Amino acid sequence: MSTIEIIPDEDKLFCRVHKNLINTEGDILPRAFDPTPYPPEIPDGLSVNWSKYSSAQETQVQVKANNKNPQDYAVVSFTAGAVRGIGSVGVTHDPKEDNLAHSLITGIPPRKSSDTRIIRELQKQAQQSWEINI
Amino acid sequence: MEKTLSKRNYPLVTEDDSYGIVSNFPDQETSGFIVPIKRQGAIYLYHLERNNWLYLAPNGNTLYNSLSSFEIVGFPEEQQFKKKAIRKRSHFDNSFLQSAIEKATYIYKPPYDKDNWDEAGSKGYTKETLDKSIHFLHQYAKWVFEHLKQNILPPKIFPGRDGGIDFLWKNGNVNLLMRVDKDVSKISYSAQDKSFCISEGNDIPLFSTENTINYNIFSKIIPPIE
Repeated sequence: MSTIEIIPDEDKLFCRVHKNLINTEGDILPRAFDPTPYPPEIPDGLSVNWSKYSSAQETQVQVKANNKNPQDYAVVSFTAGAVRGIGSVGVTHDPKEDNLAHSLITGIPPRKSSDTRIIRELQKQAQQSWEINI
Repeated sequence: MEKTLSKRNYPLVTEDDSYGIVSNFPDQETSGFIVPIKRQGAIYLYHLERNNWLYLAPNGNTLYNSLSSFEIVGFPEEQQFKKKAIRKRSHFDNSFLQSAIEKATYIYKPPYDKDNWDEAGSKGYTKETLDKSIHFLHQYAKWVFEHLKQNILPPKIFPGRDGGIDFLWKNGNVNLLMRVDKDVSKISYSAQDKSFCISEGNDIPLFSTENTINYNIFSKIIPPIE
């Protein structure tokens, strides 16, 4: 089992965005940052890749493992410290056997009192930090 | 004139209030329309262009803030205040929203009309949801005009969460995300203006038991105006 590390504030977090979550004017839909509900035994969170162990390109290509087309995915980045600065949001290293970079932005489950603010802030930060545009 | 306004999280200025403009004010950024108010012995000015409050502390310092209640103490006679009519539009016109609405029609067309349109299990969207959301948007625009005599800025309209619709404003004075659910029966919102005033709420019923819009919600949202 991989060691869980502390992600420094200055490090980047890469996040895939499906092409249908970007409109024709290049706006990322806020919906892109609503986390997919996980089974109850797994904490909710938005999956990202830590820059220490992954690049934007690797983040894009990873979808091949799920039989998806990498060209359908853009990649944006967050800075860990900026995400933590949103407040009541965590950034946690969550390494997987096949992906040491896997991390979670936690604290944004649906229907939490402040989740609209968090989604708005994530959308704002992501819109300013394209790594791979499609 | 003295007038007490109802308690609100984010106070609004109505047409009936006294308006003025500050000139020769030490803070050059405050050259906007204001209304002077008094609360707990201090003077506050509502800055209409910035949509926030300016607090005039006794030591001459200033602080932008939002208030929950206040009193208007009338138009001061001091030399630094100069009476001037508020810039306002003469009639409500929502045609400016039309372009944003037309752009949004993609929301109920392929691939967004089918479930899993994002390859992550998201629900598809219906024309009915978009139509009801647009109706809600018009109601909100009308309410803002009635209370501020300004038209809201056009939002970006996006497919939202669980078949609902998102309205996003990143223009003017505010960054506002407003989310309505698939039935357009509940609203969640988060707004932050340039002075870092925040208003937010989550899953608030849009309608009262009499099936009328709960307009009280609107007064709590920092309005997306210029």
